[in-house]
Amino acid sequence: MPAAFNDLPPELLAPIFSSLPESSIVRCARVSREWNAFATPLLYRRVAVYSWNTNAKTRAAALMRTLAEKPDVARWVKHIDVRDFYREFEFMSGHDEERAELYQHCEQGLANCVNVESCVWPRDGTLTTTMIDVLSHLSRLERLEFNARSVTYDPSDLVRIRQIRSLGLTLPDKPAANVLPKWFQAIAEAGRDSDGVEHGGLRDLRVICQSDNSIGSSMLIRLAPYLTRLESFHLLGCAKADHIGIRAVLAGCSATIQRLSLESISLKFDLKELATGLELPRLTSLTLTLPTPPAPQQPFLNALLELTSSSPLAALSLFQPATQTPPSTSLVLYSASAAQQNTAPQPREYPQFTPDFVQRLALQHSGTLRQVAIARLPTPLEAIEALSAYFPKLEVLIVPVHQFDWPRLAAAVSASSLPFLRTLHLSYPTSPRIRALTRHELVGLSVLTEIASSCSPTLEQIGQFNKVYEVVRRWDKATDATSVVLERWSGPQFPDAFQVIRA
Amino acid sequence: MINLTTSDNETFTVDKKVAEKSVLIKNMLEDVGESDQAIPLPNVTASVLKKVLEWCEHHKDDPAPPENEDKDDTRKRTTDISEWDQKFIAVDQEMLFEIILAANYLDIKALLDVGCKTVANMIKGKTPEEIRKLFNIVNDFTPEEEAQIKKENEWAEDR
Repeated sequence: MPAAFNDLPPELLAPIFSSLPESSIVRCARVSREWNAFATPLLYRRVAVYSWNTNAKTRAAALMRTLAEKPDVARWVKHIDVRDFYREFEFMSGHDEERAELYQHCEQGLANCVNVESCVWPRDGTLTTTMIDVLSHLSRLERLEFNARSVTYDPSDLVRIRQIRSLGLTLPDKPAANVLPKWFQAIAEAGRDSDGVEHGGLRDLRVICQSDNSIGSSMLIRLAPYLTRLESFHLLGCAKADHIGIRAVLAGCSATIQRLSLESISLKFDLKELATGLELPRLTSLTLTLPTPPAPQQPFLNALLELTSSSPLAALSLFQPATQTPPSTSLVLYSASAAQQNTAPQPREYPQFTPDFVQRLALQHSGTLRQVAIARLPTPLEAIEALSAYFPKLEVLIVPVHQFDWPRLAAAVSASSLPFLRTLHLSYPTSPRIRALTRHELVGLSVLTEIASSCSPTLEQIGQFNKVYEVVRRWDKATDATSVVLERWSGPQFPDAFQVIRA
Repeated sequence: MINLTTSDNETFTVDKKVAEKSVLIKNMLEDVGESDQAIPLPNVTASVLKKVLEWCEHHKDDPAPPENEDKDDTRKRTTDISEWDQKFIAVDQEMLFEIILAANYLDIKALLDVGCKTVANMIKGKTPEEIRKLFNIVNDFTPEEEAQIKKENEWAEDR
């Protein structure tokens, strides 16, 4: 008898579903009881609601209702990521019952996720004291990312969440920041075993601040004693954090730190001061905002090379601050750091990402570097060519394009130049004039498809601006030809490029 | 060289290296040692084994797949099938399922993977009813149950 689908052993449904995007898995769950049994664990392993989803708040409420009402489903959840939710004050009077039910769902829903390892809940004003209590009892929780503006909860309760190893704080206010030394100490001491050997302490800390200065160098100095096992350290926009505080942290964890990211921090930050006498032998990933001109670029590069002199650097990301736009643009961007500067705009030396920079970088890191991301920093084609010449093993390349010479760009990133390339993302200067051009004429999907076709077959994604496509090589039976097609990105997570480039 | 006998009593003589793409055969050879005796494969017909061996021959020099690649976070992509494999697996549904069954029985992980991704590509973008029709699957939900599941999972629908 010829084989049919129903002859396959049901356990093969798991590997079949495992390569499907969520949008398909959710449909598979309705096909039959057997399909449901295999689709549900996969669908719920990583549950997420993003702010750009249609009706994000309603979705988030629906998710929490299901998790609250179906403990047998909630136990599959390993990662929960709710980026949007109803805030307290969005409920008008007369909706008290609805509100109470919603928060009951949140609390019970989280509590039912007994196997959860990571929880991301960054929406301002949506975390309650009861939820913090629930989080403190989830024994497998390792990673927590939440909004640390403590308007809806008492920050001193945070100290009870001691099991985590990875923490992300979004916009911490003063009351929340003041709890941190005690909290980090509790986390560091939580992992001490019977022999007195410590396993506790954060491995990963990321802090995102905007205009408030609750986490600056003096706070970092207080926190440093509890961060001696840090592997990943990420500061974004903390305007009072300079080399003194960061050095205090890094000196304590120099043997373990692997990923360091310092973006748009204090204008007084001096990379040279940080680098002097500091060795980071395990550092593989470094992200830096370039100093504001007129600080000359050569010392910056020297300091960068000094900081990473003993590091097996695999990934490097460099940003021009958003305030620092090349002269070609007429766009004026407001940012907090521009306000602090409080100086009238004056003619400046605009730095470039130069072939010379690439060459010096290569002398030190050509053996290990696999990922380069440049944002907002004018990058001539010569520099992109130098990158592919000196770093033929690049897997991820995220660069601004300033000269619209597509054949030359395509040659620089072609299969023979970069045979291991997985991700390519192009950005363009922010000038409205150039934007209009690139949107409509220069870089239609066809140009991008052409570039993708000439790239290595290892290329998985390609993008420009805020768009990312999945690169699909499709063989057509009728014509016996393989062609490259760009499809909507359907990966489970943010594409690489968006982890680097923020609006 | 290794001899393999199919369920319909045909014998194939292949390179040891080719046959050992199958973990089942590899383990058998390790257990009984090499001999002139043919290895019986009672679950595989000649037409399917011929096809499977064609795949093994082409991939005989591929590096062994990593032991534990079932990591949570790196979801495989359905589109990630090499050109040769795309051509190889462009067969009718019956043969596709025969190949999957054989790869599963013979324990050839990379071939099973190609088969599963191909089935996944057939599922992609289809409604539950279209999927049932395609594979002849009986809907054993009551309409109420199906509506209930849809409501439970509505947070993930049509983003």
